[in-house]
Amino acid sequence: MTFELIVQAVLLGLLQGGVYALVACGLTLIYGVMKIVNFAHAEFLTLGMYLAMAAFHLGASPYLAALPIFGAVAVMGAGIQRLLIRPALQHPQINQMLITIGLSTMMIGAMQLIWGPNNQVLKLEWSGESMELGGVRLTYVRLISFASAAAIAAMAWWFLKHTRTGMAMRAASQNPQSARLMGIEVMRLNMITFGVGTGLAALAGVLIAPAFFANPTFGTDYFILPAFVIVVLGTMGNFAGALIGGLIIGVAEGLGGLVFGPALRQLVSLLLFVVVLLFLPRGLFKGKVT
Amino acid sequence: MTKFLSEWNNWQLVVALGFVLLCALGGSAVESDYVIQVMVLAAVYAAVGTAWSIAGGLSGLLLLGYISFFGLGAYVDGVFFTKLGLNPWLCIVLGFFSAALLAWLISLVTLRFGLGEDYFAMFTVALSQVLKYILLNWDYVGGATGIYLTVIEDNFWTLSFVERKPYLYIALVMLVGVILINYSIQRSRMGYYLAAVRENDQAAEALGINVHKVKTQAMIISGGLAGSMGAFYTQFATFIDPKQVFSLATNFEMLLGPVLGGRLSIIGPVMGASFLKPMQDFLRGWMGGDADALYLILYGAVLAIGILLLPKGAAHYVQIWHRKRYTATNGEEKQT
Repeated sequence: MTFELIVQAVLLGLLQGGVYALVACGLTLIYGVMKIVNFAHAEFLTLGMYLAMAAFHLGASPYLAALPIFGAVAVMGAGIQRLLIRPALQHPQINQMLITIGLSTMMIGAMQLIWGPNNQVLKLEWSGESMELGGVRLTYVRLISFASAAAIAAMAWWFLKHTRTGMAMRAASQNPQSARLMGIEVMRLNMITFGVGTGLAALAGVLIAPAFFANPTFGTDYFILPAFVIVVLGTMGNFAGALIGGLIIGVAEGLGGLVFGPALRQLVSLLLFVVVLLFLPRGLFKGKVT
Repeated sequence: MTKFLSEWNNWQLVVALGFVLLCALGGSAVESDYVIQVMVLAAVYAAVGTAWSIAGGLSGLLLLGYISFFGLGAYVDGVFFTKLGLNPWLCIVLGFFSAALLAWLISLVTLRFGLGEDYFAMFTVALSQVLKYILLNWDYVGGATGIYLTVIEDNFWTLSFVERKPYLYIALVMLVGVILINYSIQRSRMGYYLAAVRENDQAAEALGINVHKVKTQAMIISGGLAGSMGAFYTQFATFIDPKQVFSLATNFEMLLGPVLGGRLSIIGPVMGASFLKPMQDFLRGWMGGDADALYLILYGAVLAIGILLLPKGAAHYVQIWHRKRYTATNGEEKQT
């Protein structure tokens, strides 16, 4: 194992970690405000991939379509929250999570019905092109996805810090009861949060669409476990934690791929999950949610 | 007898066992192998659902990733039977112990003080998928191609039958076993501990109940039973692969029965599976071409909407009826 291989694994892991971070910060946002784990989260990523492909086949650049796709998925997510999850708000937590599982199943089925069960690829003209950085070849597609993920995360960060809605989200994460007493409409906020969170997952999907094959269970197969580990590592509900956790898990998986072979990268995530539960049960941020 | 039946759990036990007996009698009259196949699967799902409700219902754990235990049991049987020629009945026992061991390990990591229930839910789901990937890449146990069993002769001792019917009887006997275990747990001291832990674990702890121990016990029993059912499933299906016995879709199908039927009840998981499983095969046959996709949409919708409409499960309404019925005739009986 040469030094170069390690550098390559770390760099590729970092690029992948940027996308993980984007997926995980939507998940953690939803958890923070609504206190439920969205088991359908990865399906919104897959949906984003398919929508990017659809846009591409219509002649638009998938990157230009990112904003409309974000908007469409966010509205859809908000609608789903209103229709399926809000009515269960008084029910036990397990019911709400099972509803998101039902949602996940429905989405997989719908995507299979529309786009078929087989792998599909979005091939840009420059999909295969790459540049060399310190002796490591990195494709432009991956670099763009990382840079955009970083930019989107920064925008989301700004949104949380400086807009009224963002501040309301942070307030509701810290203490839903007090937030309600301060006049924040938590019901409406839940809806917005679910929309924004799932929209972010879809954005991540758009960004990785040129780099991966899409199939209906792609999200569940490759993204849900890292996303879980990331939100736990970064303290559930903590936005910055999800971003940092994303990069850590990306690099860890990259290195793990070297050791165990690429097929067992997920094993690394699970081992990290165990380590976090045993030694860092409150995550890197010691239970703080903002 | 009325006194015995006025107790909700007793009533459920009688109804559930009567139903199983009916299935056995009905099954013996059925000629079609296909119908028997569906019945065996329904019995397996019912048993797995009943076993799940020990941890997922009685102890109130958010045990969402349950298929790990079933899959592990299935693989224990597949590997030990084909590679070492171990007797399948022993494999069922071994399936119990290996799945129970896994359940114990999971409890060690996730049921520690201060860890949220969400962590437990996410961990169990994640674990099932990682086990799937490990087995997919482990060539010794068949990798992605899975394990095939060959059945050449009828032999009770090696649990192999050319006909499908004997499997039905064995599956029903196992289902009765799981029902009896669930019933006796509910009646035992442990059942009361579980109820206390489920309703308010801090109060339970204050009363001197070892919450961690009780939850771990529930996990071990629940996981072990699923392991046994997995081992039996391998013998019945004669083919397993990781994508099938560790599938998340199957996982949630198995939980659908107890969740919609009633997590805390005995009849819920049994009736739920007996209704949903045949329904599912009927729909698969009926929808044709895009069956798989349509089926996924439909069953996701049933899961989501069913939970909204029946948050406490169908058995809850039966319980209300039962209470009315027996308070009316037996006013002085104390109801629980």
